[in-house]
Amino acid sequence: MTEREADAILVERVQRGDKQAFDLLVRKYQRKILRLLSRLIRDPSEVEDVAQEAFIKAYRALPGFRGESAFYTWLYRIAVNTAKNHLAASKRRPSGGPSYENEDGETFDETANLSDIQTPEAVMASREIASTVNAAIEALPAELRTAIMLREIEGLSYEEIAQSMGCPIGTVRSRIFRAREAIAARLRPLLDTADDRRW
Amino acid sequence: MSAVQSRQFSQTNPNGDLTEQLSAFLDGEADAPEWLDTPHGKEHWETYHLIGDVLRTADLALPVSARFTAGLEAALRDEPTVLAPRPRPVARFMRRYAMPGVSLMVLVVAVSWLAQPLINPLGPAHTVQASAPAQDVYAANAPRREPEFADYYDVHRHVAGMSGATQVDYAPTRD
Repeated sequence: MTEREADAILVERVQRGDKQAFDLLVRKYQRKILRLLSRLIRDPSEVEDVAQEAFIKAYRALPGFRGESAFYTWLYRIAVNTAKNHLAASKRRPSGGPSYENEDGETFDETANLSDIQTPEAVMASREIASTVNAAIEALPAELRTAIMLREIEGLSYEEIAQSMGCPIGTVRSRIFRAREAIAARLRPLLDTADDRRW
Repeated sequence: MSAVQSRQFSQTNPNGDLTEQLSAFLDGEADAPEWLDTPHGKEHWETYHLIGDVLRTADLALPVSARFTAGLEAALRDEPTVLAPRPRPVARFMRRYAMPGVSLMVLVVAVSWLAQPLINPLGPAHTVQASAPAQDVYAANAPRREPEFADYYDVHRHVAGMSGATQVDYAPTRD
């Protein structure tokens, strides 16, 4: 089962009337959408409002989603259109260049520096999260670090990681889980985010 | 993992097996655990995704404010539950079997109609009716046996011997 198929399971649950499943999709993609919108909308106070509007629009439109594209691609388009409508309504121009049409949201226009449009508190919190994750990764035993890097960075399946590391798939599953838990234990104190540390 | 690390780990995660299933589901390698929809499950779900996002790009090391989370949850609560229309079984049957069947039948009829002059250049008048029994066809086409020529037929058969033509000639008739 690929990540797209895992998303499809959650989408089907939403289409059967399960709102909780949509909450899981929100929690999965909210950072990507917030980052995307922060490139388009200069005012940090408006980014979260537009993101919320985009997610609600997606929820309403989900019965018509047939899975021809990946869920995130579909969500991305809704977010971009919502931002365009917002900017048109407020008679302002988007802050980014034409490169914001990139669908995966990963290779954005690098001239738009994210830290310029975040609040100082949010910038501090971002740096703290990144440094904590990096420190936690460095502190992991080698087999756990290798397993989670092969999964998250290289995108290998458990079977491919098992072949690469010469161990059973069950061991790979356990190592990735333990790595995540070890990092999460360090992150959790930082994630009780106060309102003044938002965008 | 050392014994000390393992002990620390088990202390921080009393639901290890269930959380491990969630971790595998996140990677598309297991089914969703039942407790995924609980606050505890959602917290793990979100944190694990954050870890993956940050490992891929530091740009996604973003704090999501409690205001945003609470606001979106409230907005979703106010939304009427959406339901995708399910395809009706009859419609599904029609789409899967009946329509292709009808299309195939139309195609066969059309091809037969167009190819008829090639198959039977003499025209439809010379086409043997497939629905008629073979015996009836023979009987209809066979010359009538007149009683006064019976002797002639017997002599003729004796001289000519048995052949396909004579077999047809002597096929039994209804009269």
